[in-house]
Amino acid sequence: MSLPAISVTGLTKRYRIRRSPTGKYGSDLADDAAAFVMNLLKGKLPKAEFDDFWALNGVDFEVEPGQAIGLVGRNGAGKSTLLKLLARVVRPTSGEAILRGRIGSLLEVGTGFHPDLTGRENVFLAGAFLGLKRTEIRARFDEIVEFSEVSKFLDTPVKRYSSGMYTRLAFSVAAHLEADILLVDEVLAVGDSAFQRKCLGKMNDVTKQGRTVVFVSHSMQAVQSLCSRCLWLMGGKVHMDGTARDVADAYFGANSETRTLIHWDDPKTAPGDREFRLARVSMASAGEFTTDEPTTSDALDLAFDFWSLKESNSLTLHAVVLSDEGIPLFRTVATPGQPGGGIAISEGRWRATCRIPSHFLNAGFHRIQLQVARGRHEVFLTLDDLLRFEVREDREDPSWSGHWPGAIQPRLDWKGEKLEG
Amino acid sequence: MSQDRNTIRIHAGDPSMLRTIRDVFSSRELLEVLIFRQIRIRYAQTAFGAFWVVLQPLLAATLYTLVFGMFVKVASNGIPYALFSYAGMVSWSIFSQGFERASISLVQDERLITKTYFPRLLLPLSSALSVLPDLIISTLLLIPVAVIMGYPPGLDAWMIVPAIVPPFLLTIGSGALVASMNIRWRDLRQAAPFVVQMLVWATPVAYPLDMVPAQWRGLLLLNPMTAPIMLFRHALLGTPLPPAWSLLVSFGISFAVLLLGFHVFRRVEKTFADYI
Repeated sequence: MSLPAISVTGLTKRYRIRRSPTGKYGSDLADDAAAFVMNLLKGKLPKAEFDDFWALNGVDFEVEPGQAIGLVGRNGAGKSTLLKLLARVVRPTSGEAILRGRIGSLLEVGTGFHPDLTGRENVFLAGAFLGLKRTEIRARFDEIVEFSEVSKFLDTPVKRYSSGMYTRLAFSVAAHLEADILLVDEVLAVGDSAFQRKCLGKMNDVTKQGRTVVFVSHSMQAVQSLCSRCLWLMGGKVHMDGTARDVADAYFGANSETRTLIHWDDPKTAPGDREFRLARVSMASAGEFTTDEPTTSDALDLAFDFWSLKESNSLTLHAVVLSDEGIPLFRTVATPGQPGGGIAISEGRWRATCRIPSHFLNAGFHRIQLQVARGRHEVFLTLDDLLRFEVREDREDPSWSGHWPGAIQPRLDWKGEKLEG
Repeated sequence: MSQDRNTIRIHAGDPSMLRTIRDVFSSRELLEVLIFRQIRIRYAQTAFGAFWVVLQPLLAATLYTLVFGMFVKVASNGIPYALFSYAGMVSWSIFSQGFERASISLVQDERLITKTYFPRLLLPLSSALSVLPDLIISTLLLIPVAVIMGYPPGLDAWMIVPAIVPPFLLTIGSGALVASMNIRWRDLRQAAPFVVQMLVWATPVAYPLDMVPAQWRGLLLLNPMTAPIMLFRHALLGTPLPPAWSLLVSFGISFAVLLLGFHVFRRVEKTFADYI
């Protein structure tokens, strides 16, 4: 009786990216129709113009019941596609996956939540989408509400909730899922850190109860703390399959070139989605003489260029600065009212620049991650490992006295005063 | 064995029609929740709330009464024109409202489609079925008014039940069909309400069948909404019955549209999350 909980054989997923005849990205039917007629007039029969993109290109693995497995890899490596296939949100192009047990999928926080409905109603709604029966929700209702810490606002429409409250309630429903196989995407990346820890704790309980967990994350730390085993996907294939520790070591070892500029020229293939595509990310010291080999005494500019692909696009950029080992040092959100800070912007190419003050980062290697949110907080895109650069010690600085401990070394305001005697 | 029931095989093929229907049936709790959600959202934070249910057919009937009952003086099978057109509007609304909601159901709830699994058919199905409470309320309201005006429902009132079956089948089928096409061709979203508006004139909602020139009557009776509307009106107000054959035609066409809708939906369902 030890059939694997999940068996995946030869799973592939092809996306056909339409190369529209006019060459303009996001062109509509009218443009296509016009191009079609023009081609006919020229005596050319239109050819099917598709670019194939293999998001998954033959993946095989098995997961034993009760095992927690992490999926990691760069953007576009196929980890989210794999999770979506297992969650039955998208259908594979070929291959097969067999899942034995009741499936609970958590691809986002708050699936099924509706802003106009009250917290109480949404608990039932979200529960139903996660596959809970009404009697099961009723039986766990008090537990869910207590876990969420929002019991006072149960009869308020959730659109009046703060994003923290919203997340807490939504996660609580999900955390009380009765599933044998739990498919979890990055949902833990949101919410305040205290609640995040609570969620991680809950997830840990889940794996200890002998449930099978598939966990996709950008955070190696989270993967290591939750999962014993880890799959590293690259180019739609399993690149490495091993213990979380081994994979983490190899993963960071492999991504170790310095990069202070990365850019994409084609908004069709650049990372992003239908509303947002990243064009360019760069790091340079601020000031008159810019350099990409800054010291701790330099202020840095992180510039994010992106294409907004629709009118009145309300996007918010969050930059996460991580240590070389992938531990987040801090996250910073674009200033409200600025393009990229949540105000509605038009179609076109935009730049959002984040200034990191001098005497703030510690010396050492840093990695940059970008998160893009709809509105203010609803992160829908995480782009990993965009830049990796070194901040050097400033040995010219008279106050320099060797390497300082700590993740950052901010210069803060100190004041001295005499209190007695 | 329960283990077998919970084993899920994910592969590239389309599910069979039987499988599709079985999946929907086994998710009826979610269907109920979706219907509740539809209704609840629609009237959340509106000042008149559920009163809109009645207001919509009432306003339409008032407009028809003004234009056709008083200015143009259309015949109405010998009953007050206001009653006549209100009854017509109520049963027409099953299709017009239900279709309108069902046809945008997938596009509207794209987040659900890209983030969670459930039988996709539940979306157009629940949208179409969500007009049921509207139908019940606006019908119940018609009865006392009709009684006061001297037209109490007779022994044929039970015919309401067969009268609403074809409209629902038709709505679910065409709603599922158009909803799935809406994902690829968003232009349909603009065109569909327009088509519905035109269809109301090809259906005896605001006028009685016998007003139509005899040579066109047969054609009008092929419209699958004609017989149900006449039957509905007959059940409540005692106006003439539709010919029996036209009711059979209506059932037949509606059922065929339902099957067609399910069939197309089942074939394109797998690509929804890719295109939306």
